[in-house]
Amino acid sequence: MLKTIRIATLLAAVTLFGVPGSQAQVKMSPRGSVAQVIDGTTITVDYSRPRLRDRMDIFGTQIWWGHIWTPGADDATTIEFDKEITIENVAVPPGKYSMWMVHQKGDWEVILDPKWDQFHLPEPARPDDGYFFWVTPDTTAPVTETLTFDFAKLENFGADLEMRFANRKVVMEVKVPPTVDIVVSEEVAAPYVGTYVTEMLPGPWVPEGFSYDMEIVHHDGAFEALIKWSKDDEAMEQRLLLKTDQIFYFAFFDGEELMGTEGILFEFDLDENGRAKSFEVRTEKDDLWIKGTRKP
Amino acid sequence: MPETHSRRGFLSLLLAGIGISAVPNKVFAGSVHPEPREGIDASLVLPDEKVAKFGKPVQEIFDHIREIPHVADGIGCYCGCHTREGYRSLLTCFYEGGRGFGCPICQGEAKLAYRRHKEGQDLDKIRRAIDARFG
Repeated sequence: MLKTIRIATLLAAVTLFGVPGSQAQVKMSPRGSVAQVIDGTTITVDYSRPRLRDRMDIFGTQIWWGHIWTPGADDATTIEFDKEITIENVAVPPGKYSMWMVHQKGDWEVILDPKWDQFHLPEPARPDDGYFFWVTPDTTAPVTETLTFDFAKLENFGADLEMRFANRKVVMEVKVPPTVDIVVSEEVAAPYVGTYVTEMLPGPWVPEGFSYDMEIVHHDGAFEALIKWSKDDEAMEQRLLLKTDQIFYFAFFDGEELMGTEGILFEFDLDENGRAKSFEVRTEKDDLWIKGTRKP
Repeated sequence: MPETHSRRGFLSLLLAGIGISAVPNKVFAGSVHPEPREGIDASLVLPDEKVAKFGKPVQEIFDHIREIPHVADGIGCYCGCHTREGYRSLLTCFYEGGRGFGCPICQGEAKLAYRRHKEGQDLDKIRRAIDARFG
């Protein structure tokens, strides 16, 4: 009896105060995190990583049906982002949220609670100011020993946020507000349309005095530079997108899908009538690299 | 001109020739441009005798920053200086302890800001141009 009391007291003390020098102890569910920047929006998931430890039937036994479970352990899993995003088509304002899943047979409900600083127990009350959406867990996924979050299937303006544990995989489609408008209107394009005599700074591949014609055209919402290295060459087409003010940049498309952009900025200068008279492309050190002057 | 059959291949070749990275490096999400301090001056910018050893191009950049402290103090730096103690704005990148003497981004931002200021552009437009180039 006395031994039992001593053991209980010791356990209580450890629970309340920790073990001296225990900051570096081996934890049952060590903390981990994953972050992804998607077109300027940063999304971070912070979570504890429990392990299966042969508990293959963990869903339905220790994570029982109907349980509001944080996909993790100890302190609740959190997700944080710095711009509004949509998750499974639900718009969520920027901020930090605890993440919970109502685990049941069939679809699961996912809850994002602005009250992010919570422990996994007791089960939290359903938040009035939370965000809710449904997911269909894959119950035939390959077994994942350690609970894992990652951003799979990364695209220009979104990604799949996956949670995997045991034989369950939950995929949450995340989309971010694009910083790029891939359609350039005729009104925006009009001041820039025309042909420019373009000169490049001499370099390893560019002889002194090298110049070429660059024609800027607009059709069907696409704003393009047609570059002819010489009068006998077929024009190379390159789409331009508006960055800001009179600054455009090269963009690469696969059909109508934006694949990416390059850091080549065309900075146009307008005349008193608001018509582009010239442009410059400068290096990161702001040195002049390419200069174009509108042909009369 | 070398023959290239792919647009992307050609552009990468040109970029390599001139030493530009084809992938913009973003240090932090979103720009953080502070408001310039009232009455700010260039008194803490490293003096010329301390930057002479870095060569004339660097000296010129420091000269430019000394001319436009009120502009530089309203611009954030994208190179990671925001993590450095003592950082407040692009202006402070050119103080003692800053990286303006050697960082291509601090220098690129400084040159862009100076050029556009001399062209008569306001601070907001300069900030947008910096966000476009370095953000």
